[in-house]
Amino acid sequence: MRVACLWFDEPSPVLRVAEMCLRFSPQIAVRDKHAVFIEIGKCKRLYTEAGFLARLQVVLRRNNLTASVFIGSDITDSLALARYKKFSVDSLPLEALLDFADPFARDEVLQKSITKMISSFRDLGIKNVGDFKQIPSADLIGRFGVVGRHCYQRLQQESPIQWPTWKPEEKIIERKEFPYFEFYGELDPILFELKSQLDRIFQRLWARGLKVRKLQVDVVCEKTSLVPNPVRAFIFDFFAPQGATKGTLKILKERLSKEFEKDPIKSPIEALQTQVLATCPANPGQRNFLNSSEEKLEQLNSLHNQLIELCGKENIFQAELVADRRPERSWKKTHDRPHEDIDDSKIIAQTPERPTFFCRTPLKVEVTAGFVHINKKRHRIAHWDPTVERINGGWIETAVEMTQLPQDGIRLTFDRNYYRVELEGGQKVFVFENPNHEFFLHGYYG
Amino acid sequence: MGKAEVLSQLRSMLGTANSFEKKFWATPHDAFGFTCSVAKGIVVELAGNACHEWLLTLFKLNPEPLIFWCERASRIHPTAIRQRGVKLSRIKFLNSTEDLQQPLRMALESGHYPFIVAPNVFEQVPIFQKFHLLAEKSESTLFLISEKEMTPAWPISLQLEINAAPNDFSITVHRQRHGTSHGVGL
Repeated sequence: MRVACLWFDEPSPVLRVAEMCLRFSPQIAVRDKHAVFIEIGKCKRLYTEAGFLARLQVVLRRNNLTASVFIGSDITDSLALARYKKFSVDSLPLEALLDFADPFARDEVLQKSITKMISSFRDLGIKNVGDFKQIPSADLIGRFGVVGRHCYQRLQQESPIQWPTWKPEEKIIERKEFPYFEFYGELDPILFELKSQLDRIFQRLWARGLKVRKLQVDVVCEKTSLVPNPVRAFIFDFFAPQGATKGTLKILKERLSKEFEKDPIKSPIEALQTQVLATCPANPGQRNFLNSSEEKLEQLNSLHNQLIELCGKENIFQAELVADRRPERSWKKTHDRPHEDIDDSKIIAQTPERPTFFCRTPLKVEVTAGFVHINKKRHRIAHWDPTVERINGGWIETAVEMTQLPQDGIRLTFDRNYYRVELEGGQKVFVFENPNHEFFLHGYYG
Repeated sequence: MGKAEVLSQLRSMLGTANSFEKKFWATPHDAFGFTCSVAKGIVVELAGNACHEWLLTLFKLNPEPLIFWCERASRIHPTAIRQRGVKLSRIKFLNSTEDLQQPLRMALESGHYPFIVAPNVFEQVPIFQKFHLLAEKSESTLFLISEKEMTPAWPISLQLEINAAPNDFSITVHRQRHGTSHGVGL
């Protein structure tokens, strides 16, 4: 077994650190505000101890934390070495026996007994763990009983230690209360705090190998007579999962500035809370140094999210061809596959040439000898292409569709003869004739 | 010579000097073998009844870059785009009747869309200036489609009027600050 111990001299957010260390190993234990233990022996094929230490330093640096890290063969020796910053067990002071006997500092009675034992040893001239180890075990047990035997066994690694269960919090929530500093609806301080909350959230998600799909930001205001509902909740359902603060903050800023403009905050803000509502797996692999396509895709997704926030989901789309002979129904909007290649060669091979622009609804025109009248304006025909494209159908539309639209069912049928006409001046138009010999302008080249 | 003319001449000279550093897109020829170089990182204004056809030919000649296509209302026909040899997976469409400045700025700033197409609904020079700076920074080319007259705003580097000609285009260059316009056999 190889166990790494992170020892914090000052009380520190060990739970957060432990969560970030989930990337290294699933077997983690914590000791109340001071130590984190990570079992890395089973992961030796994934990384070396030197690599682990280097990565751990990055994690600590990101969190502005300093800790002494030691790797030992058990929880006890790694803890004692990290705490007393020594390189061998023998050179540890006698106080280290406390950590050997009770590494998670949970048994106060045991600690008192060991403290008494340590003071007795001092009187006998025993200074460190090395000296303690040289005492014959029979003498030790005879003089100090169970406590002496327990310490001895722990030092010899004869008594196994059970790892207490530790699981990361199920819900990822970051909250900040503002008890003294009062600010109202200014966006900048809110964004400032949101940035640090998002930083922490994305670090926690990164450790779990996840990305955020849905996020909720709660702005808790002081309850006054003017503000009966003090909590304003903003839910962000991202089109593409977010994995970084930069892009997400832009989306949040966009929505909050719009909302605060419409409905300003009228009482002091008491707290700000960000909660992850839904996640999805992220690519757990290391960044590809030779190909930045993944990063580019993530940035594109982030831009897409921002545009959706700005203009609405319906207005940002990509087009995909559909096998339908009606020009107006020959494509559909897609939202979920940004810049993903789709094979439409079969459809395009079967579709006759289409003009670049289509009218929303066909515009009725009159065709007389040598002229087309569009919006009561006469245009001379330069060339009338004799090729006719005939499309006819609609009666085979599904019965469900027909029953849903009994009144408009007839509209689903179509019978059109399309012509390409070149007008004087070079403008080409696309007109069709219906069975009543009426002409309609449906599109134009441009 | 008036101040405005002097400034215009100086800008033109500066543009010509910079054109040695500029990179250019592959551009289509017209019926007479005439071509007009389109630099990367500039604002281009297009007009005429065949400007979209010309633009699609340009996109076909440069098959890799992604395209951001803004419209006031959905008029361009995706099937036609695909038929002109441009893959639809390259294009992100935006339909908005609201102010297009913000989405255009975002697309320009991102640098992921080397081609950006939008209707020319802008009038103020500072807006064009901002577009010009962002386009230059990201090396994206912004094509503004005018339905009326060409704008006199100075940040626009290239103004082309492209009309339909028998079997091809006829191109009229109204302003060319970077690069050259030349014809085969002209």
